[in-house]
Amino acid sequence: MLDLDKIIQDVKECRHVAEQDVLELCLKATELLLDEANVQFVDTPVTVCGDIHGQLHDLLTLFKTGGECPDTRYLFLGDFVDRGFYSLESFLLLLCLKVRYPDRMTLIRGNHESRQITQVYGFYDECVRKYGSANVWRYCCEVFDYLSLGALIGGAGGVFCIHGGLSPDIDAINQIRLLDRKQEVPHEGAMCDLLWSDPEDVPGWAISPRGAGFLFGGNEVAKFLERNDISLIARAHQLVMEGYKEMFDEGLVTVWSAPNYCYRCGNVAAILTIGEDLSREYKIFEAAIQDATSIPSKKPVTDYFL
Amino acid sequence: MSPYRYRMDERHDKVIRSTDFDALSCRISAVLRQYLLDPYIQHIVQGLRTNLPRLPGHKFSANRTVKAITLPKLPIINRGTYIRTTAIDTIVESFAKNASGDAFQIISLGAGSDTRSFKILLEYGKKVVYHEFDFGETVLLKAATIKGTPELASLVGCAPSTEDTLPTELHTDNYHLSALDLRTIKNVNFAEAFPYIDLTLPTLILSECVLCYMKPEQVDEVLAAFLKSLRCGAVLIYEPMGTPDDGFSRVMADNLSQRGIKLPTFFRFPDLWTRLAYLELMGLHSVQLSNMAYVFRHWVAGPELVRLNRLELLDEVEEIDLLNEHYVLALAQFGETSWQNELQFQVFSQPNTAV
Repeated sequence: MLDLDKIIQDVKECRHVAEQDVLELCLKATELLLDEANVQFVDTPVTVCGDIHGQLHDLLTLFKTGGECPDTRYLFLGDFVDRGFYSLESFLLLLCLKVRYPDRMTLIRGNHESRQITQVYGFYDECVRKYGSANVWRYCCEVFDYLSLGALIGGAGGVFCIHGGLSPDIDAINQIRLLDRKQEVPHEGAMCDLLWSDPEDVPGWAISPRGAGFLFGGNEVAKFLERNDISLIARAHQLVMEGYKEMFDEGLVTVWSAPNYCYRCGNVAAILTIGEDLSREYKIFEAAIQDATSIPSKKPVTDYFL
Repeated sequence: MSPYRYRMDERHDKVIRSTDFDALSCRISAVLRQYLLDPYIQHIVQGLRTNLPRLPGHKFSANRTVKAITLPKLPIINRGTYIRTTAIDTIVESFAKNASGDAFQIISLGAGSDTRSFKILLEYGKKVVYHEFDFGETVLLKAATIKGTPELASLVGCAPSTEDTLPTELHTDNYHLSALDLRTIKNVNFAEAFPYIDLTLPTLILSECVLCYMKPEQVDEVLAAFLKSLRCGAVLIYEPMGTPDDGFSRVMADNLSQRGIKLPTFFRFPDLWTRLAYLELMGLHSVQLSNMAYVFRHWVAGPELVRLNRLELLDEVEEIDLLNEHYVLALAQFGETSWQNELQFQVFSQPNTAV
C-alpha cells in the first residue's frame, strides 16, 4: 500500500524513493488523469504556477509563498522537469499531491513533459543516475502522455490556461477537446503548438525561433478571447526576469515560477492567484539556493563561454 | 610576494589554462551537432589523447579530461559557440579580403586549441603569417599535436615527427606558435622578444576570452605594447561583459568565481559607450561594438538561420539572448588603415568628419 505522506516527506528531503513506489504512484496518477478532459475545468480561487524545471527547493518556497496544498488550490502549467537537479523529486511531489488531493491540484502538460526533450535537457540522465536504469523515466513518461493540455478557470469571462500558447489550427477551446492527447508530443500540429508557441509583437502568426510552435500576435489573442468568452490567457514557457508579464491589454500573462532559472539567470519568480471574482493577485519569490555549489552534481553546474 | 599568494596565483593560472578545454569542448559539441564545420578539431582531440598523458601532472587524469571534453553540450551552448566562432571568422575573412592579395598577419592571443589558424593557412597560404601565443603548457600540447599529425604539419609547413620530448615552440615560414605570459609584456623589448612578428604588416590581433582574466592595468599594458610596436591593423576582443545592477551578471560572476575563475574587468565598463571611449583612449580608432545577441540577430539570416533552427529543438530562446547579451564583440583599428567593413554593429565611433 502506497504511503503518500511518507513519500511526500521523503521527496521534500531529497531521499530516495523505491522504484516500486514510483511505479505505483505513476499508475495511480494515470488512473486519475485518464478521466480528465483535454481542457480541465478548475474552480476559483486557484493559484496558477509556471515552469518549475526540477528546482525542488524553489518549489517548496512556492508552496510557502502561496500556501500549502490542500489549503490552497493549485494549477501548474507544465515543465516540471529538466534543467534543474531535482526533476524527479519535483515531479513526484506534484504527483503525490495530485493523487492525495485530486481536486486541489491540477497539472497540465508542458513541452518538457516529453520523451524526446527530457533526453536532451536532463530528466532522463537524472533518472538513470539515481536508479541505474531508465525504468523510472519510462514510468514518468507514461504519466506525461495522460496530462491534460489546458485548463479553464471560472465560467464565462474566465481564464484559459495553457503551457505555450495558441495554434493557428485552433479557433475555439472546444476544438482542443477533440484532440487525441494520449501520445508523445508531436513535432507539429495543434497539440505541439499549444505547448510550444509564444506571444510576440507580430501581426497574426510568425515562425518560432524554437523550431516548434508559432509566434502569435495581439490580434490573434483578442480574437481568441472574444470567440471563447474569456478574459485572459495564462501561460508559462518563457523566462520572465520579473516573474510575470502581462501583454496585449492585459489579455495574456506569462507566469514564470523558477527563480534564478538554471542557477544562472538571476531572475525572480511569480505565482498568480485568480480570485472568485476573477481578480488577479501576483506574488513574487526568490531563489532558495543562491549559489550553485550547494547543488550536488558531478557536472559543472552552469556552462559559460570561456 | 608571500608563498601563499604565489600558490593562489599558480592555482588561478591553472584554472585559466583549463578554460581552453571548456572552449574546445564547446566547439567539439557544436561540430558534432553540425552547427560548425571543422575538419581539424578531430586531430586536436586525438592529439590530446596522445600527448596530454605525457605532460607532468596529467598522467592519471588525462583520460578523464579527454572524456569530459567530448561530452555533448546543451543547444544554448552550441548556438552561443556557433555565433562566437562564425562572428570571429567573418571578421577575419573581411580583414583578409581587405588586404586584397597583399601579405597580412594575424596574432592570436591565448590561442589555445583553436583551429582557425589551419583554416586561414589553407586559404591564404604564403600571404598570411599566423602567430599563436599561449601559456607554455598549452603550447607544448599544440606543437606536439601539429607535429604528430601529417595533415596539420603540412598545413603549417613543418616536417611531421614524433619526439621523445614535447616541443616547446613551433616556427615555420608562415606559422609561429610561441609560449608567452601576456602579463609580463610590460617588461619585454618587443622587437627582441618577438623576432618573428613583422612589425610592418597589417595585423589583426585576436583576443578571444583572454584579456578578461587579467587585471585592468595588465590589459592596458598588453594593448599598449602591441599598439606602439605594430604599424597598423585591428584588434578584435570577444569576452564576457557584466552590467551593473543586473541579476544575471551577479550570478555569472558568482558561478565563475566558485570555479576559481576571476574576471577582474567584468564590471569595468557599465555599457558599450564607455567601452568605446576606453578603446579610443588606448589609441584605437574606428571602434565597433555589439553584444552577441545583437550579432546573432543581425549577422545570421536567410537559409543559414533556417538551417540552424532545424538542427535542434531550442527551448532556451530567452536564456540564450540573456547569455549572449553578456558577451561583447569589439573591433577597433590602429595606425593607418583602409578597412571599411560593412559589418553591422550596435555602437561605433563617429566617422571622422574632418575635410
